[in-house]
Amino acid sequence: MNQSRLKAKSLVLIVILSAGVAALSGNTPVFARDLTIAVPKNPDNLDPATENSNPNLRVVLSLYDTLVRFDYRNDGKIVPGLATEWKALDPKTLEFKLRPGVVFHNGDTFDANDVIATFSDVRLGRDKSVPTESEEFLGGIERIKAVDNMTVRIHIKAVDPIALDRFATFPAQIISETALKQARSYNDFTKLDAGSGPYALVSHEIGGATVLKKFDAYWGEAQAAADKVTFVTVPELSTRVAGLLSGQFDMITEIGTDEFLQIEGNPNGAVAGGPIETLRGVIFDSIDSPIADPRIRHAMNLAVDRRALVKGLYDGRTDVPRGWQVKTFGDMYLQDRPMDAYDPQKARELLKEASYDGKEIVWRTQHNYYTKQGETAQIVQSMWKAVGLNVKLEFKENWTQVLADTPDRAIIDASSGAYYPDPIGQFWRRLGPGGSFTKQKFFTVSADMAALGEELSTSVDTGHRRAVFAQMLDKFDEDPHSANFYTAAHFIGVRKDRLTYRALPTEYLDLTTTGVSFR
Amino acid sequence: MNWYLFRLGRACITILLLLILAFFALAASGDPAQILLGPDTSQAAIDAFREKWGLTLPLWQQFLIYLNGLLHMNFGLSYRTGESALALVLDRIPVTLSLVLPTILLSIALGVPLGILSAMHRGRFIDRLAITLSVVGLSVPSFLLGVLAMYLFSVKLGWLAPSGYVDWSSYIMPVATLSTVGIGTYARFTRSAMVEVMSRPMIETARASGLSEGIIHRVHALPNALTPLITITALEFGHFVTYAAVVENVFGWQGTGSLLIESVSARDFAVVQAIMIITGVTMILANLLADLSYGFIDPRIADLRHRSARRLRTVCES
Repeated sequence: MNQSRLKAKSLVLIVILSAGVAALSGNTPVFARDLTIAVPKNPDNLDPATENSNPNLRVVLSLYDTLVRFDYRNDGKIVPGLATEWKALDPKTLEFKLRPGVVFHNGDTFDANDVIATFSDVRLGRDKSVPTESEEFLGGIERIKAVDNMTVRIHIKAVDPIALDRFATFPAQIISETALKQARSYNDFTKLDAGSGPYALVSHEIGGATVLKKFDAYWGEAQAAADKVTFVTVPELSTRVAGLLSGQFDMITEIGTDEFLQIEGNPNGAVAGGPIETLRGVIFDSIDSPIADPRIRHAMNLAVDRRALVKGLYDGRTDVPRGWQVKTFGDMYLQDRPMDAYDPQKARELLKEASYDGKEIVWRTQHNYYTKQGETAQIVQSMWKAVGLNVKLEFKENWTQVLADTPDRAIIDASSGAYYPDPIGQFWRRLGPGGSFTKQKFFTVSADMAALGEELSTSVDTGHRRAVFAQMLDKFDEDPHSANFYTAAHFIGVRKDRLTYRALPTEYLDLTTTGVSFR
Repeated sequence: MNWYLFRLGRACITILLLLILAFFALAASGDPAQILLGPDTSQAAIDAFREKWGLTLPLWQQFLIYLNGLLHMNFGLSYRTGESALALVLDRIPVTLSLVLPTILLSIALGVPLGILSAMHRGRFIDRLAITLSVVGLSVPSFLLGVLAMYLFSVKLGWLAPSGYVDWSSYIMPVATLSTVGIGTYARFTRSAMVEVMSRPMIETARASGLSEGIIHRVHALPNALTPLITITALEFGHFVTYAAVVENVFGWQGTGSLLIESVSARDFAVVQAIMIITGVTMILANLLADLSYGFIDPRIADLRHRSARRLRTVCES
């Protein structure tokens, strides 16, 4: 009796242990075309007009379409999207022929009313009770009219050389009119899937996971590559890396160069990505700070060895920009313009000329708002010290503390995205009279620079615009209100035994068949 | 009864002070509009955000509006999502509790025996080993331990999923990481309490009456050493919620701890305040429960309270 009881107990123990081992060794089964992507944060809102953030950009390209698109893999050329044709009827009127047969995820059929709803007052920031981020980008729209069910005419307030570009990206993603009308409030709408993109929303848990599934009725040639995509929130980078290497995740975003060795050293790990359309650098307070003299700021620009920064911090996997521009500017990219010079000797001479007496210059920075932010600040500080500049680093907790306009403010970090592949979408947006830095009293824009900016913003002659832009950059070099250090980069860890990923030179994630190929 | 009302009143004042301090400290150190929308946003968007959320009002007025809402059980809305702050927090509480409760149980289950063992072998090798382990458990930061465990069990051995909930095995690393602190704390307190009790004359009397060491420890020493352990449990509950914030972040669990970190950095006032109120109330209740249980475990304490109350009445009557 005792022996049989012992046997029974042993059997139960073996079963329990076996179950435990089985559970320990096997994670959830991975289906061939399911994709799990670990991101530091998922978006709080899915409405592109409401949230302008990297988490949002990771998801919106899968959920939404635009009237036209940038073909990022073909020099950023504009290609058809939800509009099949377009033409400028006059310098201030664009007409779009809409694509027939497009269906939204909610079953609604796409027509002119959806375009009108997309660019309605509430989504353009004209209803002050509904804050959106659209005004800066689409504020130039005067009115929009449906010519017929599948043709819309958009009138803009002033001549705008990048008018068409504005309908190719954030925040011009087309929404379903029905979704907007049926939502109880605009806040409710921001949590909905109102798009027609290659993926439809399954669930969106605030602070948790965002799950998408392939949208079978998608109109585009590049279809959803995966049947299901789960964006999992994993704030800690080391956990994302561990999840990638252990096979829990197929892709992880926002990895740094410190992780390259670990990921690429694993037989199943690979790193995708590279430079994106964003410049990383600093903004100078040129009005009331120890660097008010333009010669000091010019010297600061000459004292930075940008190649050393790119090599040391990014393993050479990003670029040194040729002034205030990125390669996707296309026809507006000034290929022959030299990279910002590194000339410490000239920097010393300029400082002497400006009678710089070693007065303390405060650089307000943060540890990790931008990738490699703290490290960049410390290295550049030492480069500036080498030419005799007395720069003090002050690490702050948030942007309110960084931007506070107090007498000690001299340098702050900045990252400038090219929302449109044109100087207007980057250089002039950030440094022109309408930019936030001018409003925050970092600098004033001189009258002659403002006049050139006006020409850049209103001329539609590319040759002339190129010449004007070159002139502006030359002027800027003499009296710089900023210094760019390198082109920002976005790296993605990939499980190469499962897939290959072709990254875009933007923050968007391309999860269609042009971006992801399963093995 | 008066004693409990006094404790309750003191708890309410504590929560109010906590709210005032948190509200003004957060507001003084950052503007939610600027922090949430980021540096690369237009002034128009920032102004519209401030207008919508009443951030243009003087700070004292914003606080009074918030307090008024609170009195009507309205905890406010999250700036980030527009959702009810209370709903967001309540949604995350089960996740945190699912980590904290097993952690407390495991800490007691391992820490108390370790402390007893240590006290029983006072000054010997086992005692020194137990103390060393406790100190290590208390000293190693949770995030470091978590990352090391993840590297070993997920990356190298491939046994456990490093992030979030996959199945029951997902609890192993976060709970073990959290428990190292708890085990260390319980072991040290149990040892101290046991050593103190073991030096009392009653233990000598028990020994003289011929009782075995096992009975002396179990029947005489341990019940007397339990009272401080109840205090520790009440206090540790709060500590575990704090440690859970780090562990949730490391292991990608979406609990109140990770919500608190997100909300503080985004200056999402309503959510931060909701978490503070709920945590504060939980701590107060845990301490009240501990106070109540003293009387049940140690009749001398109940007797002392009765006598104090009688003395107070007598003084008042005279």
